[in-house]
Amino acid sequence: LQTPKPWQIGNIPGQLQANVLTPEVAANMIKRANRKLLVIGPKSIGVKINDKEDLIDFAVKLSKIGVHIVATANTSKEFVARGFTDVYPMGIVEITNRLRDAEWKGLDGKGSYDLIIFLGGIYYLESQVLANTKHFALTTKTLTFDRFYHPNADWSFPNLEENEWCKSLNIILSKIGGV
Amino acid sequence: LSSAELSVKKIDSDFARIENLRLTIGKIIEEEEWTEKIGPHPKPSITTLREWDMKIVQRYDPFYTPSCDMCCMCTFGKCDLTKNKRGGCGITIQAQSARQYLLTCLIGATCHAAHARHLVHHLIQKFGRDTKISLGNEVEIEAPITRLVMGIRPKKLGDLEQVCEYQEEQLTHLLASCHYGQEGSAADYESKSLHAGMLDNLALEVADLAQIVGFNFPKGDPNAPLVDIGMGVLDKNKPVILCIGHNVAPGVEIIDYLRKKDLYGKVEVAGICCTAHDITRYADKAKIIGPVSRQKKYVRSGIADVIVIDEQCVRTDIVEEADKVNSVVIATNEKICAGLPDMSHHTPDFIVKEFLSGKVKHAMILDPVKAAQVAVELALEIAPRREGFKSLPDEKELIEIASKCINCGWCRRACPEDLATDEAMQFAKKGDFQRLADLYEACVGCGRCEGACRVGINVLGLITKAAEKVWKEERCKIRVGRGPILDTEIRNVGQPIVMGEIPGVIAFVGCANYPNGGKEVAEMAEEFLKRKYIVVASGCAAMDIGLYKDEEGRTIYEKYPGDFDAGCIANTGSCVSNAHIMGAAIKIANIFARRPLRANYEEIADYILNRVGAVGVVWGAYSQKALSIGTGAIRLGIPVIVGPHGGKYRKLYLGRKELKEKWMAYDARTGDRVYIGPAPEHLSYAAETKEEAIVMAAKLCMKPNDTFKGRQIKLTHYIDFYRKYYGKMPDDIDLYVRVEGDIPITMKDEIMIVLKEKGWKEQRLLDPTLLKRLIREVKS
Repeated sequence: LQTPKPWQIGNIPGQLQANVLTPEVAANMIKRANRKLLVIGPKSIGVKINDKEDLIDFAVKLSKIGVHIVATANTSKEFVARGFTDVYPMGIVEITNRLRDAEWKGLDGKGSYDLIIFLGGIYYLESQVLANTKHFALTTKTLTFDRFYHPNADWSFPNLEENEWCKSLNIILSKIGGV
Repeated sequence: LSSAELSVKKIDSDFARIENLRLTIGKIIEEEEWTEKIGPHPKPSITTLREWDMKIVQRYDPFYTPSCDMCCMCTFGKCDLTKNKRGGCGITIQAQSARQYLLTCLIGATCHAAHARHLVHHLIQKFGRDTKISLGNEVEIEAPITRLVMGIRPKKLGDLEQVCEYQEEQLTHLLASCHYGQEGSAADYESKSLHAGMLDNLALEVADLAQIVGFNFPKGDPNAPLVDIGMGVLDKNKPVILCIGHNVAPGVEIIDYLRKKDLYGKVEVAGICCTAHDITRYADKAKIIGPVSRQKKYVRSGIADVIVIDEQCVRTDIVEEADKVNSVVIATNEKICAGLPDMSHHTPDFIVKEFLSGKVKHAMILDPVKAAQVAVELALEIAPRREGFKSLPDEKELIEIASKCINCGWCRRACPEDLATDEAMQFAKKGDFQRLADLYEACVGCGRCEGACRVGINVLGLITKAAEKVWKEERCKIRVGRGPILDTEIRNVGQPIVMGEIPGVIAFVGCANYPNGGKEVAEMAEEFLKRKYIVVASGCAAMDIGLYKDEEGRTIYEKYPGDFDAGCIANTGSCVSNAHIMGAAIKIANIFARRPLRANYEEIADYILNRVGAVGVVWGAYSQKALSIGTGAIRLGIPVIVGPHGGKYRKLYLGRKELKEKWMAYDARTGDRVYIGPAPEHLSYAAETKEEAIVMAAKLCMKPNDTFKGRQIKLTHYIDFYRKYYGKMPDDIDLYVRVEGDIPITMKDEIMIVLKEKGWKEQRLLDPTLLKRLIREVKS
């Protein structure tokens, strides 16, 4: 597959850019990973992925298959408002600062993560923290489930139309048994 | 250079009585009775404070976010630095990121140093080297940063020249370290960046001190007048001169010329960016259009007859933009020649004639007096000719232009804020302009959308047109930049700040690259004002705070007093007035705590880091200068929060609260190495949303040496904000409660439950310091 152009067109970091992610590959990576973390940001609030559910519901479903949830900025309030309290509020830079430390024991103290999923961050800041993981968290794989191509992730969707993107997220849920 | 020094304590003879005389070759350092002993680090070199810097770097491990994976700085390159690869010179991605950060800081610091040098030179020429530096009876410590770094008390304008010389020498060394085959250690680049930041802060002080003294700006007046701010404040029936930039020299001359000709008030003089602040500090009939983000939009409006540019933050396409609306540009500073013909050596009359005959469209005039005369005379001549000039399309034209849109979406992808310009354009095609108008507030006015448009639509022009009603009615009030914080104010608030009764000092500073428009800065400021924090502001952030009204039509400056006190907002002024914010922190250490100031940087920074709850919020961080200002604050122990764009500065200083070994210090009373808790948790931090910034700012006000009462109050605000915006109790309360007395009384029961769950134990209260030399009694 041809490497897509970054969503914000000037955001070209260099020769090493994210592999193009498909929902099937994403589901397989989630299934295979031992320790998984979702970093979900404020741009996820109020974004529908199907008639009934939004990105917060998507995250809650991921948590049910063992994905830890970090809600950045004030995103945690959305989870708490729905009665979901198993969420860790942290700044996107704070969580990423720990991901580069191979000795970090994770949110539950049981070990570091081998798969990190980013979703719903502000595009340009998320891109910057992914530049940190790209260079300094070399033992961790990073995915982004955002609608737009993030060159600094290891794997990213290409720039997708909204309906294609929603479809992809729903496929992921169905493949990992989250539905 | 070798130097010789002669020190004479006392001579008492028939021909002379001399006390405390110190001489170096060719220069008298001090020749009067300054009783304060000189500290350990006068005029620090680029390594003098390295040990202090390393303490910062070790605790707040630099978090790099490289904008580019490569180094392109020499002909070995481009070198790919991914996956731990080194460049052709051996450099790593860490060192390269740190080098880029240093270079960015140096761009900012040299801008301020050059600005300071220009002002000092200009003012000495105008008023003389012996012009006395005095900030009035209530400011004895006139130059806290200069005293701290240089170890001198500047008494005359001429004394500032040696500060300029020192800065220039140090900045040259720092820039040299970026050359191929020089520094290769990321940590040492960090130290050099911190040094650049300190030099920047010193330059700010020199520049503002010089202009306050030279131009008689307010000297710490909390009741400085309220002036007009907004895109709609100018009377278009008058000739309009618009000043853009940071160096007020030509603006002052314009006002003087108008006064001389009895035209003051008959010609509109307004500014964009910091030069606007400074013109209003000189003349309260001058007006402020707004922050840097308004520049392109306002020039496009065509209202300005003459645009006078000086230095810094002037759009590089200003001449092209002025051409589109038949405005005249006069460049007045060597740093921005803008490709214009140099008319500096002609008489003003001749230059005006050349303009009017059409032989010259725009010009560079480096003599501010001459530039001012030309600007005024030209504005008077061309304003009537430009009457009725239409620069923005009417609604019919707007629909026609929007109809060209092929909905490719490239405008949106070029937008730094990811604004949905493409979608708005589809509505505009049908005559619905509201979507376009709605973009106006968040639009930072960069114009990248237009460059990206495949069919040549002037997207920014359409947004400006669609929102015309909004900006034409934008008439607000801002308090004129007051300059320094008074020593008397410091005496009043020093104790409550250090004891924590005032929960903190929050400084809203910097540029206007906001994620969602400037309103968020005003909202944040008001959150803290309501809770009786001291709020200070400067630069574009101070302007944005003044651009929003409450339901009763009042801006924050009309609602809250201008003092440096709890629940007040002190607008210090322009970018260079940031010196007074750092200066206030320094003065708290000196005036309230009686820590020696003179050439004693480390100790004062150690004091501020451990005791003074001050935080900078640079929500729209954009320019290189914003970075160098902030980096200076960091070296001084003041944490800085940037908005989401701030991540592009490539580096943050983040702490790890769970790593106990990172939060060790000496107890100055005993010399014991002790755990002091993670405060302040970070020294620079990028927040995604204003809510996150508010919570973090409240948290970073906590300092290791807080009193019980102080920690109670600070914890109350932190927990309140956290629950309000995050929906639950913070999970790190146990790290910030040192003893039971720290627990806010109204929250005691629920906090005790959390502490019990976490296995919390009381700690000893300490007198923390990172400096071994400050230990009063070392245990054997």
